[in-house]
Amino acid sequence: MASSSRLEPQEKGKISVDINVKGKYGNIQKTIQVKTNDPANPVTVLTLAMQVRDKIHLSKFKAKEIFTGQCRKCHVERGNIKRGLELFLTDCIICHDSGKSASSISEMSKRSREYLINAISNGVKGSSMPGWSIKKSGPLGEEEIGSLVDVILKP
Amino acid sequence: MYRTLLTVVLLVSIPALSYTQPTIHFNEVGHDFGKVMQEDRIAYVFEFSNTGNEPLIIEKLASS
Repeated sequence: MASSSRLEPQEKGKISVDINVKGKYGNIQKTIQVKTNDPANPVTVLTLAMQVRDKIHLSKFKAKEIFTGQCRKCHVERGNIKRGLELFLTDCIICHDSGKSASSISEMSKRSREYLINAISNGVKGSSMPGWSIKKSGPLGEEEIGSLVDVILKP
Repeated sequence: MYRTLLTVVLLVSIPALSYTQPTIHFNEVGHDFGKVMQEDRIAYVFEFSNTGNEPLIIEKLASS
């Protein structure tokens, strides 16, 4: 909202911005375009950036905990019955999106099939990647894990 | 004669055209809030001024 839509020479004005981040998570960028009759700068773009956190993700968790308790709802149950790309876009993308801490798809695609199957099944030591296989008390069977590797290695 | 007059008129009017105009000036065009919580009320005020010599009109504000 602008304080006034007309400013005399040397007059000062303000543009107040309110942002509602309820239900949002991660890096958010908001832009405001200001259109004026200044012939040299007809449109000025104002940018507001922020990293939105919620209470749950403030505390540190062990990698395995995403399969239990309140974490299950987003980290496990949404991926139920899914395979391949659909499963990747539900479960893996939560952490493996570009700009996030976990490896991006392009980094992972440089690994071998064996490495990826092992990493997804058993987890990666020293990282927040848990073992997803049923043997490691995770939610995914061999076939589902294989379908994820296919997605990562797809040219 | 006419040509000389026209040249003079043009030379006088070009600077006049380019020097009387509104000029928007923002102290800053971006702000990073850093880490915020979902419950927080996020508000910010951008300050600007008209450093030109004609009235400045804010024609439209759009956000995305």
